[in-house]
Formats: sequence, structure tokens, C-alpha cells
Amino acid sequence: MTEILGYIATAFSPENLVFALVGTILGIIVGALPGFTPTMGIAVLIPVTYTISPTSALVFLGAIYCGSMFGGSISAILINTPGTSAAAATAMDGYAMTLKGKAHEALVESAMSSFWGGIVSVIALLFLAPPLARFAFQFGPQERFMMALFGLTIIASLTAKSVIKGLMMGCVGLVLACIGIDPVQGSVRFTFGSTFLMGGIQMIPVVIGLFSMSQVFTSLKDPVEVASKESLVQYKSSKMTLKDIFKYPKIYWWSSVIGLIVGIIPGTGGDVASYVAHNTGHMFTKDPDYGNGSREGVAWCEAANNAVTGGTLIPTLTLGVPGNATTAVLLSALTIQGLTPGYGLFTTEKEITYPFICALFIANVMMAAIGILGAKYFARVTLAPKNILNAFVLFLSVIGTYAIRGSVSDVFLMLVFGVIGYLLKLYKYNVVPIVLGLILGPIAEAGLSQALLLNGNSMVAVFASMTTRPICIVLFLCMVISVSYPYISQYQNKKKD
Amino acid sequence: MKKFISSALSAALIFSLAACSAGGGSDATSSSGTSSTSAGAGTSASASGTAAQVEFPDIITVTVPFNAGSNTDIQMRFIQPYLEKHLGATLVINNAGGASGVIGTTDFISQAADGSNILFSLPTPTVYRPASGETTYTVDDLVPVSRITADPFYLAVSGENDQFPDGQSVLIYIQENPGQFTYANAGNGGIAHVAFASFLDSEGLDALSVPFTGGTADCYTAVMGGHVMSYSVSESELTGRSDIRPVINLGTKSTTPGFEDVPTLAELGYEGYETNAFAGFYYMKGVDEAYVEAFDAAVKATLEDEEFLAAAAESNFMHRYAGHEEFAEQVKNAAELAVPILEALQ
Repeated sequence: MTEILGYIATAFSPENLVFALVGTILGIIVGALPGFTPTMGIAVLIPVTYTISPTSALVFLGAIYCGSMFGGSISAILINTPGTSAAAATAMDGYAMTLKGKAHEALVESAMSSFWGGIVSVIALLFLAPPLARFAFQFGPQERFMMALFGLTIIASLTAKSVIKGLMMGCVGLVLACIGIDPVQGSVRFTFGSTFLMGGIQMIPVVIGLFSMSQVFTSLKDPVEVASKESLVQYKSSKMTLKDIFKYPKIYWWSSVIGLIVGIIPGTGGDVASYVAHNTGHMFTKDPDYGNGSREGVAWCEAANNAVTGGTLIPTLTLGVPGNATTAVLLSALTIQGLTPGYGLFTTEKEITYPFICALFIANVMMAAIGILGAKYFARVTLAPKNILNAFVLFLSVIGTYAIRGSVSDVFLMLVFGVIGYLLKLYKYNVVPIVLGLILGPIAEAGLSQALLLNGNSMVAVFASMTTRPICIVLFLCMVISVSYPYISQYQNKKKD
Repeated sequence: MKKFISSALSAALIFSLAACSAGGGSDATSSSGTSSTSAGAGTSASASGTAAQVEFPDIITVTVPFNAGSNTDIQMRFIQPYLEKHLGATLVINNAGGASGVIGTTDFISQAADGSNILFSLPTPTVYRPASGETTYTVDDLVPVSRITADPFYLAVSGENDQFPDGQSVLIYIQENPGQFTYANAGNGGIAHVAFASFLDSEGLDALSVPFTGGTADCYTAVMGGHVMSYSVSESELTGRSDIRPVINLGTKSTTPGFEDVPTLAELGYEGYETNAFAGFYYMKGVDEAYVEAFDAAVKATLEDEEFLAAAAESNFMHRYAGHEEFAEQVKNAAELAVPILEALQ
């Protein structure tokens, strides 16, 4: 017991508190800026940590990671420009809420659900890390294939009004995901001899193009508006009550569990988690606006993508296997400090690891505090005149896209997708399935190809092997519910009428 | 109204400032590196001896064809301050990732061959991708300068695996059950695949390669979950792992404690196969030979620098220096070994 108090005391030392606070603020900024990924932020700041103690270094970098996951949602909600790919799902409900004048509410919900997601994952990291890490081993090729398919079934619920249009967009995303180096065979496809295309279509330029640039183009048609009196009244009356802190306990819990599991599986991260969680939420929600300005939708996405932080740290710390790109960088910071990841971190090096986990807890509290206190000020953005906001978004989109890897070609790609997104919106196509196809296509493809390789290239043998895998069966049942649910609820509504 | 505009504009200004400072991160770290070590530049020139023959530009751009935070990037950033001291120049790291390093390498080759641009890379974009004929450049467009690391590859199984207690048992299993033995690797045509596949192919053996896009982490999970039997992995990625057991050394005999007892393919009776993950510097074709000599001398002096050695020992940074002649020989051999297997993939 005194041991534990010692770890908590270390975490609360003034030095570590300062590092946690600075890290959280930096993380929120890096997260909110499109194109600046948490991975990049941590990689650039690693040299800063050479001279400080291992615990403080980890606290600092871990706080950046936590803060960035929340930061991404701020720009997604306010200007429909997801700061991180994990926040793309949040933009669906979050930006729709902003359009309804509920930006403040969306930001508060995002901060609170991020907080709960973070807390659940930190607790799991503290008490359940070793057994959970071993659970990840169960996710073989078949399980990943099924998980990606389950994520894709969100198309059914997103586009229930016109499934054909939704499926068309989903296919566009899947085809785009095929460009580049084949993940399994290693051969080059659909590149037309271009070295740029060999690297594949990058996620962030497409997301920024489809979400933010198309938004700018759309609003250019409209006359210049200044903030209306109503929105000013709404802004002034926006308040945060105690109820907001724990509004959807069930959503926080289940969404965190999803985020945690997705985080533990190597190769998947916040983007997959928030779409899977949003899709799961669709089965339980009674909100008719779900997917189109629902506070519950924001909660599902944000709790999941913040739970990913603890989830990805579980295999990183216990096994030395990074759960995603960001934790891969954290892992190298760990080795530079002379620490060896593995069970040793929880035994011989525990005076470093446990204070670090306690400090993550503190970082999450700071993040929630900054989010809630700042929500009112962040929301001011919605009061800015459209023409100024548009110029600002355009500027941010170009800089952000360029920053990913210093490529002007990426900027052109982003602009092309901006035009495509504008035209698609004009003809009432939902662009989210394109992003889904891009994120989940490669996971599904790799999983299926690997399963085929291991089963003598026989589709029958692959499906037969799935029937003996419990995780596959559960995912299959979830898929069936997800696809049929929108129709069942439509049918029920008709019956009521 | 005016208030809103001014506040929005100031917000934009703050954002842009933040963007600039984050984007210029690599520059910032490098310049601070030089200012603190500029005093050391004079002494190092005399220590390395040859560095005085050519004048390096004040700023040298190092292209790392992988993303910031990748293993290669971290290695480069680790040696950066020590190397700057011995070069007497500022190094600016340019991360240009994508297509397993091909995009950054293609870009690098089109830069001026005046000594102000150098590449730091792994063999996948410099040797293996060009060997499969998918790139606009060939391995001959690059001039190997010096090697920093050379990690032998291993075939490794789960520590709980009783079926394959040693390397011999693996080879017997492959001979008796053609096509049944499965090994994961980080992608077809990449070095981890070639390491084992080139041996199997030349010896007429048959085993099943299962590529995993998530890299070594993904392969590890697949092995621990029993989805595949083994995986191909480099020594640095195995260091400190007790739950994984290397059974065959696919590279050069290692002297690292814990790895020195793992038999090489030569010791198991198969001569002529050695695959190591080597990270090193390359110039582009057409650069003055004097720059190659001088840069190599500075790298050599860096890796003998006591300050560097102390930091490397503390951080488990494994370095195995090779001069430009030895490095060029290794690049040539790697390309020759890989060509048949890469052609078979097409």
C-alpha cells in the first residue's frame, strides 16, 4: 500500500505535474491542427526528453498522446476538419451539432467522453495489462477480416435512405485503398508508373479534402453571413452543468471497451475504433438524429478513440509490441532511456512504469478540465464570419496536408478530393463511406489474403475455419444485426404510423 | 463585429505560428545541435585526419525515406549531434516516407550531387525494390558511403513452442513437409522476406511465406497467437525478448550475448546465405569521390567518439561500422542474392 502511495506521490511531484500539463496542452494543439499527427509531435520532441528523467520523459510524451486524441475532435466539431484521422468519425455528429448551434454542447461532450474513455483505459492498463495483451494474440487473420467487415457495415446505417449510393461510395473507397503496393503479394498495382501513387492514397489528404475543402467550396456559394443574433444568444446561454459530467455512463463504458480492444490489436487505432464504436452505438440508440448531429454519436466516437490510448500502450509496455505508429515512437523513446519493454517494466522497473500510468490519469483529468473550461472559447469560432472562417480553413488545410510529409503532391490530392467532395455533396452522396473504405479496406484485404494463404487458397476452408473461432462468430452476429437493424427500425416505425 | 474579426485573425495567427514551429521541428533540433558543438569541430577535423581535404557545405540535408519516428529515423536522430561535430556541418533531416522508402529515395536521386545531400536508408528501397524493377532508379544510382548498423536476421519461434527446439528440427520439418512450414514477415519483397526466401528458393525447399502489413509487431502477435509457426526478424528487434526464441541465424554470426549460440545457416550446412538489415549513408551517382571519402572518415570518427560510445551503450544502440568499400561490397552481394527471388515474385 505504501508502495502504491509512493508511485502516486511521484506522479504528483511538481516536475511531473508540469510535464503532464505542458504535454497535454501541446497534445491538444498538435491534435487540433490537421496534418500534425501525435506521432509526428512525439517524434520531434523525443530529443527534448534525452536529458530529463525516464519517468518525466514518459509522462511528457504520454500526455501529448492523450491530449492529441481529444484535440483532434475540436477542429472536427467546429470546422469539419478532423485534426487526426481518429476524429473523422466525430465530425459526422459533431459538425452537424455545430450547424445546429450546439457547438458548445458537442465540445463539452467530447471532452467528457474523451475523459471517461481515457480513464477506463488507464485503469485497464494499471490492473489488467498482462492478460489483456495475451487476448490480442487471439486476433488472427480471420478475426481482423471480420472486424473490418463489421466496420464497413456502418454504411448500411449511415445511408439507410439510399443504400445504393452508400455502397457506391464504399466501393470507391475500397478501390482507392487498392492503389499502391499490394499489402500481401508486395506487387505494385494501379499506379500507372507513378512513384507518388506507389505510396498509396494517404488518408489525411483525402479526409481533409472530402470534409473541409468541400465544405469551403459549398459555403462559397452562399452569401456572406455574419453571426446571427440567435447564435449569439445561444453562445451566451451555453452552460455546463454537473449532469454533463456523466451523462451517458453506458455509452462511456461500452465505447471504452471497444476502444480498448481495438487499441490492443496491433495495426489498428483510433480511426477504426471510433467508426466501430459509432456503428455499435447505432444499434442501441433511440436518438432519431444519430449520425446527423446527435450528442450520443459524439460520445461513442470520442470515448472509443481515447480508450485507444491505454489500449495501444498495453502491448507496448507489456510485450514491447507497439499497438500503432504513435506507440511505436513512444517505444523507441523508452529504449533510448535504457528501458527494456516487457514484463520487466511491471516488476524490476515498476518505480518508473507505475508513476507513468498514474500520471496518465492526471493528464486525462487536465485534458477534461482544459476541454470544459475552454469549450466556450473554442466555440467562438462558430461566431466568426463565414468568409474569414473559409480563408482560415483553406489555409489550415493546405498547410496541414503539406506538413504530413512535406509533399506538394499530397496538397494537390487534397484539392482534387475537395472538388470531388463538393460534387458528391451536390448530388446528395455521403462521403463517409469513402473514408471507411480507405481505412478498413487494407485491413480486410490483408486479413483475407493471409487467411487464404494459410488455408490452401480455398475460400471454403477459410469460412470453415471461421466457424470454429468464437471471435469470428460474435463479429458475424454483430454484422447481421448492424445490417438488418436500420430496416427493422424502419419497419417498426411504419407499423406505428 | 470588429472584435470578432480581430479575434479570429489573431487566432489564425497563433495557429500559423504553431504550425510553423511544429513543421520546422527537425531544423530546430539540428541547429541547436551545432551551436553547442561548434567548438568541437576544429578538434575533430584533426582527429579524423582526412576530413580536411574537402569543404562540406554548412548545411547538409539528410534524406531519411521513412516517416519521423520510424526506427531508421530514430537511429539518424541519435547519431546526428555526434556526426555534426565531426563533419563541422549542420545536418537537416528530411523525412520523406511512403512506398517502403521508394518515394524518398526517388526524390533524393534527383537532388544536386554536390555533397549537400545524402541519404540514410535501409536496404529495402536501396537494394530490394530496385532489384524487382519497380523503381525509376537502380541500385547503381546510389554510392554507398558508410554503414552504421548491420543486424543479422533470425528465424524465430514462440518461446512456448516445443515442436521446434532448434534450427535443425525446423529444416527437417521443411524437408519432410514441403509447403507446410509457415513463416511470417513484414511484406513480400522486403528484406525480412528475402532473408529466408532466398535460401529456401536456392536450396529447392518449400515453405509458406505469410506477409503481415503491420510489420514485425504484427508478425510477433501472429506467432504468439499460433496463427503462424515462425517469423523472420532482425536482432535488434529481438533484443530483450524472452517470450520469443531465435532458432536460425539467417545473417552473419553474431557475437551479442544471447545470440552467439544460435546456429547460422552455414553452421547448419548451407554456405553462402547471409542477410543483414544494414542502415547506412548513400550519395547519388556522380558525386565527387572526395566527398565520399571525407564523409566516411567523419562517420568512422563519430562511431569511435567516446561520448557517442557511452551514449550508445546506455541506449542499446547497436552499431557495426563498415567503410565505403566494404559497404559497397555488401550492397552488391545483397542485390545478387535477392534478384532470383524477387524475379520469381513478379
